[in-house]
Amino acid sequence: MASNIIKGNSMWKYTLIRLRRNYLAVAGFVVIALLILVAVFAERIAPYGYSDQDYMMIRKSPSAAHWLGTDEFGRDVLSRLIYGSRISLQVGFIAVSISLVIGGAIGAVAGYFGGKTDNILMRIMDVQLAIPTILLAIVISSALGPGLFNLMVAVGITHIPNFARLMRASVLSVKGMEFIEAARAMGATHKRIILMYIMPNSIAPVIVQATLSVANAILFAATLSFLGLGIQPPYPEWGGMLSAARPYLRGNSYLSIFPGLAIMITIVALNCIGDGLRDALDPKQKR
Amino acid sequence: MLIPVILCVMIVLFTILYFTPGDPARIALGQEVTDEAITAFRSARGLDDPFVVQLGRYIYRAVFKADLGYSYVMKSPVSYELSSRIPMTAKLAFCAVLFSTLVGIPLGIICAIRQYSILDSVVTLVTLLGVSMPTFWTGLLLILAFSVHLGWFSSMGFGTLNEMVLPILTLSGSSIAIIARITRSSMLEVIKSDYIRTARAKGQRESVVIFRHALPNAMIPILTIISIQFGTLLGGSIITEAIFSISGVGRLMLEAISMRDYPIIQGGVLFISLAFCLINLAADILYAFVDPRIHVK
Repeated sequence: MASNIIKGNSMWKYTLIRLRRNYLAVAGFVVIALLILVAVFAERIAPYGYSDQDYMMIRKSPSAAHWLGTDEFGRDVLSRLIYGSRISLQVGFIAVSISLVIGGAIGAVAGYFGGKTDNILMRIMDVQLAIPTILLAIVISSALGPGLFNLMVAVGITHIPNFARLMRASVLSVKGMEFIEAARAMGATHKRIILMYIMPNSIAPVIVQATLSVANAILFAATLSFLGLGIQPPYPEWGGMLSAARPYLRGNSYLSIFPGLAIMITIVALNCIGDGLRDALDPKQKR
Repeated sequence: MLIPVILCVMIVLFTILYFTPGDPARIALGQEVTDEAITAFRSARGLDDPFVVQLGRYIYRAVFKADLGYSYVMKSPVSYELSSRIPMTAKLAFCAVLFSTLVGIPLGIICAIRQYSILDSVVTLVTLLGVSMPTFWTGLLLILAFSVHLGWFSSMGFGTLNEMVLPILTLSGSSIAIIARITRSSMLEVIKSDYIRTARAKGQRESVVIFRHALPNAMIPILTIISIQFGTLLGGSIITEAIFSISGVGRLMLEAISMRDYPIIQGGVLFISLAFCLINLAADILYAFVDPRIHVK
């Protein structure tokens, strides 16, 4: 029987075709793929260690030996940027995974069960949304203290409401459909209906939101480190590097330019992917 | 909805900071004090009471007496510290919102009218960069260009007009980009509708079509994003104030964070959240003026 099924093009195949026509999105994917490679193979790519100090080379402008110059401890800026990509990518992806799982669960439960459950959960989200996100991240990370894991948790918590609202909306839009009713008639449990029937139908907007959230999470992580709340020195974090470079803005401006450039390129790439995915997954909606 | 939300914000903030490690008495009195002094301080401030009692007292005093407690470090009432800093932050945030609205909306409209033109592409690209630049980096670059190299504007403070330029540009950078993007897409949607075609068909001038027929109908999403941006800007003012040494609420809070001065952090976040909620409320009311179909309930 199974062999008789005519295989049509799936939604994903069409999405991929449309995505491939979007040059900005393709460029974004290439940049992020390269960045992941850089982060994974940082030890091999980086010309120096991230904390190797050379006291003969303190705050030297870019040269052949140090392509992007050296910082106030004579450390190679390029190598530090390369190692720093690990932090940014980890925080970006893991923090968003935290908010995706928690927020998605809250939204799905709220939308699926409705009534009081919905009301209570969404009011909690409203309270969180009343506090500007970056402030909440600052409060949580100052309460948790510095460190990579705490940074991820702080950034992750702040992005929960976005996913909760999105998930709830898409659950509401498919909840009343016949295939859900059919699943229930066949005796599927609530958990099974949510996970197997509703989730796959809400995945498109969630993917778009997740991509854009990764960009935002990386920005948040850099901001917190810039304020001295995220990753502590000597481990290089792009925002932290900018913070350390501030006193030398007048004399050694390259120290303030390259880390910012690294952040911006990453965020631009992720935003391009996010926009491209949105257009590709929902071709009806014109930008 | 406003009052319960703010009450819950107070509970959340109090709870987070209550369970943060670190003894307030040690923070206030320093490390080298006798145990008697610590005990006296704790009992005087009621720090040994159960959590619920302390929370209740905090809310009671904040709501009925406008008393947000004492700063551990500065030894003065939080409400006093805050109120002396609020005007600066309010001025900064208000100027930034005004500026980003005045620049963002026209940019968006121009892009929507001339869709796919070179100008549209350029603005789209610039707004993409705008939303992708971290606020603190924008600030550093602006200082580098206009203060260090060109020497046009000051990079410290927020008093004179000259000092105001760079902080406002820094803070409004990403908001301009976001407002321009939303305006563009919202206008594009409206411009494609039938009544705009009708307006053009009856020979109405293009400027009237855009500003009288299209813009008001495109205003709702724009208003929404502006009110959300207000919150982002209030939060972003922390970074801007840190970069430009502006003594506003944000800088007060940053100093409080490094000193673990929790009452100040609580008060500052509470104030900003309250301001944000009030602005959202104002936006909700404005909707009804912009779109008469919406009734204020």
